[in-house]
Amino acid sequence: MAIQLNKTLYRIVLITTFLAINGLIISGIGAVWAFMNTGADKTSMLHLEVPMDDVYKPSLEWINTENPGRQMEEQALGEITNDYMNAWHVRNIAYKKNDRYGIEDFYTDSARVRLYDNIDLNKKNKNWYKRTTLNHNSSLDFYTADGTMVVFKDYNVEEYQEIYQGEELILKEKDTTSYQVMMLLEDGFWRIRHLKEIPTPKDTTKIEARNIQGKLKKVENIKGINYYPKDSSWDTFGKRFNDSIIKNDFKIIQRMGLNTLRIFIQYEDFGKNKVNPKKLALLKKVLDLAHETNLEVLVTLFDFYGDYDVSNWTLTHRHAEQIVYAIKDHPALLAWDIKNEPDLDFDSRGKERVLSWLEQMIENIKKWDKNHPVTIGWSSPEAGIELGNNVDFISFHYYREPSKFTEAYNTLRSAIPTKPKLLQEYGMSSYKGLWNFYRGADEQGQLEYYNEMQNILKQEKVPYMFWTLYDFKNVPSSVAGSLPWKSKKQHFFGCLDSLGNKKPAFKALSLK
Amino acid sequence: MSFKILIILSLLLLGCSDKKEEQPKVTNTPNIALTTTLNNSIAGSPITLSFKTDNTANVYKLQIKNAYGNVLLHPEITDSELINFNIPTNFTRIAGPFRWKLLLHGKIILNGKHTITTNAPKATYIESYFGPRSVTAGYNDFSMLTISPTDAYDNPLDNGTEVTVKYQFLENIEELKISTKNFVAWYNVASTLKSGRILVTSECNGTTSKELATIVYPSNAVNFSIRSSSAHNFADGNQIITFTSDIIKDEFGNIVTNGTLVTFVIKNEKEVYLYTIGTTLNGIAEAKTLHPDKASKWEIQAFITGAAESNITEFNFKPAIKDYPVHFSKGNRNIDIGPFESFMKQLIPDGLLIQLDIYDTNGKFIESKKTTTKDGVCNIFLGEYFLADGDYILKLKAAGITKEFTKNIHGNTTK
Repeated sequence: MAIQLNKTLYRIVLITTFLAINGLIISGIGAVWAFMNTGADKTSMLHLEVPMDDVYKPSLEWINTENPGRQMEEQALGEITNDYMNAWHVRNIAYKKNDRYGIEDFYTDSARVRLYDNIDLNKKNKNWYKRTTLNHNSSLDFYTADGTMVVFKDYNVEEYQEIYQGEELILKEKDTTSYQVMMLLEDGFWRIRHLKEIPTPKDTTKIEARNIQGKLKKVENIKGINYYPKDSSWDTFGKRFNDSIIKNDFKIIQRMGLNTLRIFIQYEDFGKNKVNPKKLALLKKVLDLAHETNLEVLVTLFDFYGDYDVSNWTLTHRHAEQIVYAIKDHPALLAWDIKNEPDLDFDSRGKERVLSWLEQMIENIKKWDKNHPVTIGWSSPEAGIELGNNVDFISFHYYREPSKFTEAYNTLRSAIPTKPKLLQEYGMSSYKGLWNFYRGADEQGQLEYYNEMQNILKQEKVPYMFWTLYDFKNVPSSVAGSLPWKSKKQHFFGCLDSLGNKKPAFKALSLK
Repeated sequence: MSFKILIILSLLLLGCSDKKEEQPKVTNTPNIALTTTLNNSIAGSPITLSFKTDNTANVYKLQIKNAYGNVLLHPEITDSELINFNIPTNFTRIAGPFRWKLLLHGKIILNGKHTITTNAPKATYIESYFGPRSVTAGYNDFSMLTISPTDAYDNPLDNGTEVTVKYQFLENIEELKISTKNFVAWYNVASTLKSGRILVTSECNGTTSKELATIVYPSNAVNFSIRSSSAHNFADGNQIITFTSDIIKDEFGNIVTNGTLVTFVIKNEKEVYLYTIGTTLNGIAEAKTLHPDKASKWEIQAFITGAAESNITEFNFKPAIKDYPVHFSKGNRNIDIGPFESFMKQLIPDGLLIQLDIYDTNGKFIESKKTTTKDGVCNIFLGEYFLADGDYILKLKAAGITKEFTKNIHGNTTK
């Protein structure tokens, strides 16, 4: 008996060692392969200029260009604005890397030494700063007759910075400061000569109050669905956009008795900081169709965006700003969902970084659109407490066992009792096959799941949006990876199959 | 045995465990207070922020921020209760507020603002800009003198700082006082009516700037007059006629800038236009052209495009060639014309155009032949393949003189 056991033990040890060694070798080869494939792109030899638009774009508004000197020309104002932004940008980068690179292009001789002193000191102390500015309101004071010097005030500059010592984040701070700036035109560059902090004037503009109560009431009654068209899953506004298909789908949703749908806007697909007007037109079209079928729309922004870095905050601002301004008055719009499941990026990007990004984005969207509530689509009820004070209502996703839902929901409810809570995604895949060892639910299982869930949701009066209308033939690898045992499940979450036939669960989800 | 398997398996599993998130450290807010009472100073004077605390063992940091950037400072602990932060010179020298935040474990314990005023008494420097560097004489144009005085540490001086501006033109030296606003004081130095250089300088708190200058260029020319001259007035196609303007001036009596382009346009009696160009030197423009080769009446007017024009002057050319002989030979097929003699019986220069028009006896035009003179003569040959035997009217035009012959052309010259 002992010999028998010993044998098994040796066997296990041998097999595990063998597997481990193999694993190590493969990962070693992989690491070498990856290393060989890194390095500078060959085009970097050409020193192609990166247009400033694509790296730094805080909002800047000239509130006044009247001045006692020369009348300001549009061309010159554009150049001044551009170089002024460049000056901020190179300075942000310089403080991030403690490197003088680029400073001399946008600061005159005597101004740049002041920056160099700071950089040297920070380098010595191993401090560095991640900085960005978000807002500028500039007012011209003086422009000389020969057009080579300009003095202006820059009011209410919103600055955000993170202070690091070594790798440790010491402090995050956001402040609003006003500056007076003198710039000189030298060698074709407008360069900062003087920069002085001035008192920020009292803001006398009346801030319009937010009016979201009506929409929030509607949120509490959401009976909705997460929507992608059948053949363009995760790509609603792509090449296969077809409004008659979408219209049909919306009619199905309407006939099911649902009142809301959730759609997704992808950051890159919509053109990053330069939002493509064609995409905006498609978005409006979808909203029009929803309006025709009496559906309200929860718009999820920043899908497939995952950087959150301070250096491109301003780009995401410009992206959101254009979308918000384009559809904020649309009658079908219900609310803004800033980001889908950002808590899944906590590990890879850092929780602080993700939350800071979300926080300022919420603030911005509230500023741009006073009439629609803002939420974040957290991936679990536990994550739902994050930024609970900042969002207008809480959205969370739940893909676990129905029996444990009430408990999780109650925990969230007691943590944040005052705000509406929306179960923004839940559902069950009807995939039962090789890739999950025939362990998942089949279509009947899906029906049972929904029967159970719908019951609970009814009891607890939880507004809900289930995932999703159709089974999808294609699921992009960016959603659930390309490994079939991970992604296969994703194809079968619909209440209609990929041909449009009703699955058993359809009945359970229909309210009529 | 199964226990061993469990150990091995759990070791394997532990080997793959994830890094745990760091928990924030729990801290008690310590007792700490700012003991430095002064919250303003003059640029360049050292600043130390002192805090009294019951626990100097804490790792305090001071974050300071001004318009140019941030630094994070570490304290100097002098005794058991005081911690001091020495503000670096690159902060104490920059006028304007700087904000400080006392940090402990990533939390702001205290914060405040310290204002630094400019230090003009120590030293004042002047940067002045003057432009545009050239203006035109008259009442409209001006150069702007912009003065940006700074203190000893390159801080722009406060609004309302008095600046003295002096400017000189010829014997006049003017002086006036202006004051700064928005970093600068500025003054528009008006252009003068006379051309020349305007020199400016400025002074602030006893410091004077360097001298700057703008050049006053003459304004646009006003109408002027021209005359023409030549060695003689015969239309010999050889002599050069010169057109000269008088001294061209602007409306204020300044001689126009050297190199001003003047176009002389010539119109002859057949309304045909010629032109020639000259540039001014000391206000006088001169241009030349060749005499015509036949008697003409020229009307000349000069223009400075877009600005001024001259009077119209006339020049009459007398014919240089009074007459010329024509000799027919070889059955009238060979025509020798010349010699052409000019006004002193000298041979005319080569290249005079001669045109022969051939008509039949009914006056119907047949053909034209052109040639030019060489060594005062020329020859036209009408071959039998060109012109059949018969009677023809030949009209010869040269130097403005037309001669008409009726000739019987005959004979074969090829044999």
